[in-house]
Amino acid sequence: MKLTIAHLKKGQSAVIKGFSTDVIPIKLLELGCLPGNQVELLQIAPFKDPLYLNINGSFLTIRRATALEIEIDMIKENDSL
Amino acid sequence: MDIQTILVYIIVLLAFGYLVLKYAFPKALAAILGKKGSSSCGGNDCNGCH
Amino acid sequence: MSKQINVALIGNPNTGKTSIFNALTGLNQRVGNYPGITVEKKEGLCKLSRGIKAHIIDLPGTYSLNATSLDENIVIELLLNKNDKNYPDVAVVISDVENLKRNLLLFTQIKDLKIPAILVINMADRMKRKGISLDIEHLEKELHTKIAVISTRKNTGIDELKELITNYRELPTEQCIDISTIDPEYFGGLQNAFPNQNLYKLWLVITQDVNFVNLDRKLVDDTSAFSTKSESELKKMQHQETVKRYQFINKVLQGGYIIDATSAKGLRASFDRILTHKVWGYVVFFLIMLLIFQAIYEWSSYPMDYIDSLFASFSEWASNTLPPGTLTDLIAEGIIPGLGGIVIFIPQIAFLFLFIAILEESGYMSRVVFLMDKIMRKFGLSGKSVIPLISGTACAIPAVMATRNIDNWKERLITILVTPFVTCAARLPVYLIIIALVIPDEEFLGMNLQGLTLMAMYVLGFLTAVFSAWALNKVLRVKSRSFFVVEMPNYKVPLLKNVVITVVEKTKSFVFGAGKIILAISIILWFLATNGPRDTFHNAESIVNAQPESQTLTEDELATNINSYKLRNSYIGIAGHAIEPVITPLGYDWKIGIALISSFAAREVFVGTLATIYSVGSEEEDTIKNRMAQEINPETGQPVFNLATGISLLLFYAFAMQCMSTIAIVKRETNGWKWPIYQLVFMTGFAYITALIAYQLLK
Repeated sequence: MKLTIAHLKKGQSAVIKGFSTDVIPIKLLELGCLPGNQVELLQIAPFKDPLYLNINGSFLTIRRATALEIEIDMIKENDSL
Repeated sequence: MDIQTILVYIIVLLAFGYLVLKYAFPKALAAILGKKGSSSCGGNDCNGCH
Repeated sequence: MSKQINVALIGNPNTGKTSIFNALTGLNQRVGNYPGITVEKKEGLCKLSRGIKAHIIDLPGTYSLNATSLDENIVIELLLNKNDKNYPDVAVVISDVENLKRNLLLFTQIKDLKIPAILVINMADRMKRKGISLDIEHLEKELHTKIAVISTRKNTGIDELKELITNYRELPTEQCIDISTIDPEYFGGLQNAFPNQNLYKLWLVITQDVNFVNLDRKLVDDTSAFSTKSESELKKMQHQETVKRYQFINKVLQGGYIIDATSAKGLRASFDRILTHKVWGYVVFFLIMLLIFQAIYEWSSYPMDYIDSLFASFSEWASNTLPPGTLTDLIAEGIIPGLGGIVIFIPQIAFLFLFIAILEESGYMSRVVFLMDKIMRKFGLSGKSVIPLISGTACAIPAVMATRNIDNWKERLITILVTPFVTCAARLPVYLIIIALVIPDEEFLGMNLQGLTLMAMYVLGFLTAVFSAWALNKVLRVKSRSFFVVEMPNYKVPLLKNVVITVVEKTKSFVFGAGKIILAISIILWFLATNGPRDTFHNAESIVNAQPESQTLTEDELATNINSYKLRNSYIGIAGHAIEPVITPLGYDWKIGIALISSFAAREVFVGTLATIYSVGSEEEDTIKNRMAQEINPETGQPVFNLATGISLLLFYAFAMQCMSTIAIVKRETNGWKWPIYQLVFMTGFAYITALIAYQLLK
């Protein structure tokens, strides 16, 4: 199974790998959601949606449906140091 | 008719004319009041002209 | 040299653009509209040195030149059209020191259009707390620009910015990105076809789904040949462009922008922990709303009582001092109470806008969007619908326009349709006076009962909006897809100047916009109430005197009888009696009926109308509230404004669509009469039925 932002737990970080769809809104990219950038899940709203993220220093909220389209690589605890 | 009554009629007509223009012909009203058509109804600058 | 420089302020949302605009122009600004569309256009004048003036346009906030909304289209339409009279000589791009990387994306795009651009790095006062240090010289060199570091909070850097604007001719116009590197073959062909055009401009014309009304039509048509690439290919190239821009920005910032992470970590995390918490978040939201309504009710009651009695004594003074005659009557009974009906609402409206401005400025509004999105979606709305629904408490018109940033058409349409249920400022005066009359002024659980009732009315409006949204979501068959991205701005203490300007502007536009209508209606009503068509009106005195029971009355009682007989036979009395059969089941008498009819022009006219009708009918001058309290139903001998009638009226005003301007704006935003007519029929019908049920149960 592919890992996406929607699979992160609160407080976890990861690196954006790519998108599983072509129709990722350009606005999201412009706000810094680009492959290679780090993403941290800051908060999950009640009822598990939407998600509050810190992507590369930008603080955004996206819906779970969008988050499922953004693939990630987990950062291993040891590597991050 | 005394002068007061005549003035009353003028004021009432002015008020009536204003309302008619405001709701039926907002553009004409803007022209009369010398505005640049920006404050017609429904404009974003309108914050309460119900 | 007395040339005027055209300056455009451009920047991402939440970068403090408005603060800079206010700092440059002060109160020397004008808010209007772009022709044909209802996007706010803010312009102002700023005096520079050596007698030069700058004409400053505050463009809508945008993240990039790839427009996705009507507001953003404005920005690129202006920047691509050199013939526009507002085409900027210089662009001032505002960035926020904490989000510099993202803000620079837009900056590089503007540079690539070869428009002279100054970079403003705003909110410099936060640098130290966030551990940020800047190498301005390095940044200026790499970005080919001049930089002004500003703190509107500390009031530093504005003079430097003015100086840079004055000398805008010295700005370099090098581009940041060579867009042709994305696809040399494609862009090479494009440049060959249009050797005289800026390549990035051509690219924007091709990729943007904007109706370039004012732009060179020929250019648009000619470039259409280059749209042959499939939409997804163009999209991919836009993605590559964005990646390229970020690569450039990262390289630039490496040498000039350092964040010491150890000293960072601000208030955001700790505030968010509470304000977006799944329990505390809602508790705080509810408490804030409660505070607002208690404040509007409690605090503003003092100036309101004062204004009310002031106008009553002013009326009395006028009728005693001026020479007797009809004009004096008009002034004392029509104009002065009419003016009072406007001025009395200033305190509440100012308070309401004060709170809305603070919520927006502080960054709290986005947290509410985050908290509410999932819940709202169950009702077919979006988290972003919360902003229209909250600003609907001021006025449905700006609220309907605020739905524009909802990307999904169905969610947007539903929001537009239900927003008028939200209790707007125009309903407030009606609620206040009826609550004051029928709800006892007692404490309940430590809260003022009247304040609680007012809060309940707001909750009712909000719930009705939400549940009709739910019903519409089931009924409507509208297809649309969308995405949802909301920025969560930093928390900020609202700038006093911004808040004050908002409150002053909004209050002023209420007084001079709605005020004129209220006054005109008061005058006409007075006239209709003091004139009548038949002999029964003109001979009122002799008819009443001839009645057998009149012989036993005192002089005062007789005068009152004559007055009410006259009123009943005036134009307005005749009209009121004509509609009585329709409104009697709701518990209203014909006087309330008249107020109801005039309310269709504007709800807040209700109070002024009753004030005028009652003041014509009575001998001495009194406050509006006292007059209404004294009205007695001749059949039952009970006060007209009892609990049943009061609740029935509250419900009618809560649900009925009584606002011509809202109908007009809904027509505009939905492109046709279909939706506003549904709204009018459904809302007013619903209002009638609920008011009917309430009165019949309570009486």
